[in-house]
Amino acid sequence: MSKLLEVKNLTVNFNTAEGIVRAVRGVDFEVDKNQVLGIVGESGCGKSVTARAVLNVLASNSEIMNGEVIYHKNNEKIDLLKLDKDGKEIRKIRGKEISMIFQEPMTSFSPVHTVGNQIMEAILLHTGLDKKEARQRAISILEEVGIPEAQSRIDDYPYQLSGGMRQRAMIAMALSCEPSLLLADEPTTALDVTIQAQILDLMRDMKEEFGMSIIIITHDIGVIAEIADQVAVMYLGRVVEEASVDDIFYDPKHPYTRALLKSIPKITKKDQKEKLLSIEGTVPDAYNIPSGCTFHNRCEEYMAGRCDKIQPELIEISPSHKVACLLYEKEGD
Amino acid sequence: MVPTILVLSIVVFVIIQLPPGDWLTSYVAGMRAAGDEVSPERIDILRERYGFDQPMHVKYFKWITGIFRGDFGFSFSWNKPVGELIWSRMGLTLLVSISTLIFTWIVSFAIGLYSATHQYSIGDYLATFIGFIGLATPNFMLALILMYLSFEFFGYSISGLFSYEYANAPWSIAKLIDLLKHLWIPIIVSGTAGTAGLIRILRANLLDELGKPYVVTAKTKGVSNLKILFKYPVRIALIPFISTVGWTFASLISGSVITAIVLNLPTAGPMLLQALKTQDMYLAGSFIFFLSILTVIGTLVSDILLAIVDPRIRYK
Ligand SMILES: Nc1ncnc2c1ncn2[C@@H]1O[C@H](COP(=O)(O)OP(=O)(O)OP(=O)(O)O)[C@@H](O)[C@H]1O
Ligand SMILES: [Mg+2]
Repeated sequence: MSKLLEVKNLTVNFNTAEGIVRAVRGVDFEVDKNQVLGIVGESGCGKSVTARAVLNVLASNSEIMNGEVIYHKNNEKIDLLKLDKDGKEIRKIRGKEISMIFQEPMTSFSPVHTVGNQIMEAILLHTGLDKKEARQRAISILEEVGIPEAQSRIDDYPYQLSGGMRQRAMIAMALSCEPSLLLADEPTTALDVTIQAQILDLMRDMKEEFGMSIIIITHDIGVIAEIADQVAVMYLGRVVEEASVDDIFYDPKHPYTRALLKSIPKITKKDQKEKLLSIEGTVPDAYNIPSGCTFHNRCEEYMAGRCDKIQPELIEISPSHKVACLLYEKEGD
Repeated sequence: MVPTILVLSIVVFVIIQLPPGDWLTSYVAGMRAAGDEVSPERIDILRERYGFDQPMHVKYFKWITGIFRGDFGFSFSWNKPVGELIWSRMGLTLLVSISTLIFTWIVSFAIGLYSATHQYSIGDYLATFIGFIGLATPNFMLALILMYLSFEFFGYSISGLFSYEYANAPWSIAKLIDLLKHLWIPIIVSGTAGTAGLIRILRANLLDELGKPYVVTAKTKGVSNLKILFKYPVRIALIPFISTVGWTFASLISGSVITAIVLNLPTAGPMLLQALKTQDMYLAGSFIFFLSILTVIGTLVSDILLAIVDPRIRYK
């Protein structure tokens, strides 16, 4: 399989009145063409920041300290972080090559413009279509994502649609220019369980139909089981384990991944909406990152004198299974 | 809207009737004091016309129907029909108020936009500083300062809306130019506080909107920052801006009385104040009635604008 996106050593800080927040601290992952990568982790571990950093649309108090985001466009490799973040080149990639959907479809749409207006905006921007054709295209994509009476719905305002319909419209907007990669930041978290399943089905269908890749971000490991091919587990701004979905569920290596899996009793049961809150201890805050392995204060296999001193690197322990844990690093390194 | 105005007219009428005595008595007394005798026939005609010996509702009825016929009553202190007195005053008041409103909007829009998009820059701090000074300076003080500066450095007096030679002249290009020369002072004086206030509102709204998720969504679609700014946050930030039109307008008219007196402007405010002091009830009543109507119209206009800008209002 050929690579579509590589993120290497991504490091993002935020400057706040209380000090510097080290939200993302050297994240690595890859996505292949036509693959679904799931990024899972507790609230605040830096998933959203990672996703927004890919398109370089972070908040204005952010600073990308380090890292590369390499996008493979045909045979060309483009480091998205090297492009001017307000410039033309990156704007040609946003929405056209890589698009994004968000957790809250209500606030992610402008309340004072019609859904159609907002979908057509991307189409008019990235294709040569005129207004009439763009409208046709918007209608057909709305139909494709399962919005009934798309002909008239297109002129609705976001608040006139139900939550599920809004998220479908959001997906339609993201897919309107047939991107190669869809970044989905908790697309089902705000929806109720039956709608969640429908939206995940829709995303899977769309992936097949458009032959695109998806990065889906969630704190719900049930969602990962549903849709992901490859999984990256994040903890406090770092990826601690990356493996195929089967390896994650049947052969998890990192103590954190194991704890995550234990925290939900029935992972095979579909549509399970369980938050990962029942791991011992609390998440340290991003202002005071613990030394060594950041998970050491909650870890069941904590090795005193090592885990609190040495920061483990993400290493490959078997083909396409990487883990960052001293249990798997040779002693004396 | 029509019922609102009718209710307003009743309230206005009751208010101007409240002080004891009636103006006919004071009128006659005034004339006598000046050594003039008013003939009994004339008193009878006036009494009949305004229904002075009749109950309140008859008087009201005579007053309001008179207004619809264009007869606003009689001003005893000016000894003229009210209709002859108020039109030029109302016209100039409207002119000053509307120009002030436009000035307020343009300046506060430009500065507010700049402040919000350059948060914590030197320009932003400067705008904030000047804004607070503008809010804190009383209008009449600003008027006095400007008058002094203008007289001291440019050598001409800027009080009033016209120079002496044009004040009673018929309209002409020269008179218009003269008017414009004077107009900027009352605009600045009565517009500064409002401008400063609106800058703060717009800045806060815009900063709020700029952080909203839909702005990020638009960015991820590849829309340029400038286009995003004007298509989304500015439009939404304007909503509270527009809803201020109604009351800004009213307060511009009523709030500018002191300014108008200090600047000696031939607008409604000073004449209204005078009329209230001398119990010149028909003059005062007509002014208050017109100002109320203008406020109602201002509110209506702002409602219509709001419905255009914000579809959520339209569909409710
Ligand atoms: N604009 C910002 N300013 C300061 N800190 C920020 C900012 N944005 C994010 N952070 C911090 O960065 C860290 C990671 O945030 P992020 O939104 O990526 O978490 P997340 O994994 O997406 O969590 P959730 O599941 O709640 O969405 C958090 O500690 C958060 O407080
Ligand atoms: Mg998030």
